[in-house]
Amino acid sequence: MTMNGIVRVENLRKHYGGLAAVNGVSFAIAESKITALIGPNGSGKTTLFNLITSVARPDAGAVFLNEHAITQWAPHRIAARGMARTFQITRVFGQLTVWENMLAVARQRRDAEARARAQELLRLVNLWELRDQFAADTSYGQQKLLEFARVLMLEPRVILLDEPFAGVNPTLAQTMVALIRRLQTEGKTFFIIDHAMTIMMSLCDRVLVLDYGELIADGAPADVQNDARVLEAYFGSHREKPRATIG
Amino acid sequence: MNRAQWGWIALAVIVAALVIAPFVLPAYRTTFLLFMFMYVTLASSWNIVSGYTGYVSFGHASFFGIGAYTAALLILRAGAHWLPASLAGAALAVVFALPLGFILLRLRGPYFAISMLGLSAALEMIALSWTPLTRGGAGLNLPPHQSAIEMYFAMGLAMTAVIILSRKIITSKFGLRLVALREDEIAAESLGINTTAHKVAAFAISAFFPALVGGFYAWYLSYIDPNSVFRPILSVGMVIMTMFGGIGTVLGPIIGAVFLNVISEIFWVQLPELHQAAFGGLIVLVILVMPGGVIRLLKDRGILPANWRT
Repeated sequence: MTMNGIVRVENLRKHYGGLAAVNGVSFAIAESKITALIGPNGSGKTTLFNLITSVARPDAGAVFLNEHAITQWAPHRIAARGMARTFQITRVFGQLTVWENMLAVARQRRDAEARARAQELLRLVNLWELRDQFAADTSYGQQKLLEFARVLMLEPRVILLDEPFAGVNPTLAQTMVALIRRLQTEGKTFFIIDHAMTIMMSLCDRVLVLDYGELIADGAPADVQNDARVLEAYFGSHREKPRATIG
Repeated sequence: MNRAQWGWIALAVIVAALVIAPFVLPAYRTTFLLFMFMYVTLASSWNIVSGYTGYVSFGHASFFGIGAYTAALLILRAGAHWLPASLAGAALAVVFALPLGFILLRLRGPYFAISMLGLSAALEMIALSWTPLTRGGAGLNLPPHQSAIEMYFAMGLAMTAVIILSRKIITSKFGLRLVALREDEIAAESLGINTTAHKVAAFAISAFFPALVGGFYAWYLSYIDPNSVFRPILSVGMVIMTMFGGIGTVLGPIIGAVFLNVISEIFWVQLPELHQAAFGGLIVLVILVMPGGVIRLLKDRGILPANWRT
């Protein structure tokens, strides 16, 4: 396995009580690629995102961004350095308006620049008309879109999306897919968790599969889909009950 | 004329009336206004950290007491003028608040509130037992003086400064980020906001004005003791006044402090024996009937826009 990449994790471990949520995971993700992270519910995907962005501290292992060790960094420093994320369960600033949600995180030098970018992004995700509403008063799908637009305000080079398509209507999901592709051609790197397999398999260049906190497969979408261990993890050929569906 | 212009005219009339007031009102009324200014200053300062960032402090009297003792000691031992002495107390409170905030603001919700309550109790004990410096429970006597007018304007200016600053903050990007971290600290931090630095800055700013008016208070009353400047009701008062008016807004603490001071005064005059009980009962009633304060009530009625914070 090649170990160069814009983001690299080395032997990451995180235990919660007796449970190994992430159990010795190592991989690197390539710049300007869209990498998927899939796995059954409870396999450790979100924990892995939390470890990479310092929202949770690993018990062991290291995280590198552009070959700088960032394992002990505060999350805001990592975001400022160019890696930012969204959350599985939306975390919008409820008592700020949609528009203020965008401006609060702006890092643009000039105010006018930040406003122009906020407007452009809100139009892209169809939230411009809702800009003066409190984020708390928008629907779950709209909050997902707001989180997506808001993380882009940081102009990050690496973007981690935790279930961006969940709860978003199919038309808007396609808008997001097109936007992700466009940003990729501009050089951005994406690392995406989602259960929407049809979208993920066509969108992503590479798929990593987690099960019980361990990396069980890593490859092109077509290969991973037919991997015996992946099918077992999802459909449980040797297990009593299936834990999740792949489609 | 539009609404904003009417607002400015109303403000100009109020300011003009308050400037003239001490020259035409009896001394008793001037004193009443002076203390009202002090409570507006306290509530507005408290609101900068607790309203904007959501870290509710139940011990802001700590800073009032630090300011009062610092100013009193500088006046007594160093012969300082009351104004630089009070400013020095305010500066000391900020210097104290920086490392303190760095440690305590890691605690969330009730833990932070209780730690601040504990802090003011601890400071009161220190003031009581550090007898060589503070004369303990005997308190400190300052030289008496005649005119309330000087102190009236000092309190008035402190109040004006904290109101203007509150407004500057909430309309700035710094203020937006304070509210963002109040709404979701993990998200704010993950989106590049240095939440620790923002919280500590707000905390230090909110320590300045209580300490400043604490110094004025010591000079005005010519006497302080540990209980009078660290008393929990002072801390709780800032919470109640701000909640009553509308937490997290510029206008809320002003409305709350003015209204509750006026009501308290009326009860005091009309029901001297029952005034504490009647006042307490009113507060319970108000919190039950309008939990978001006066500002929320005005928003629900459509009198103020829903996203009004100034």
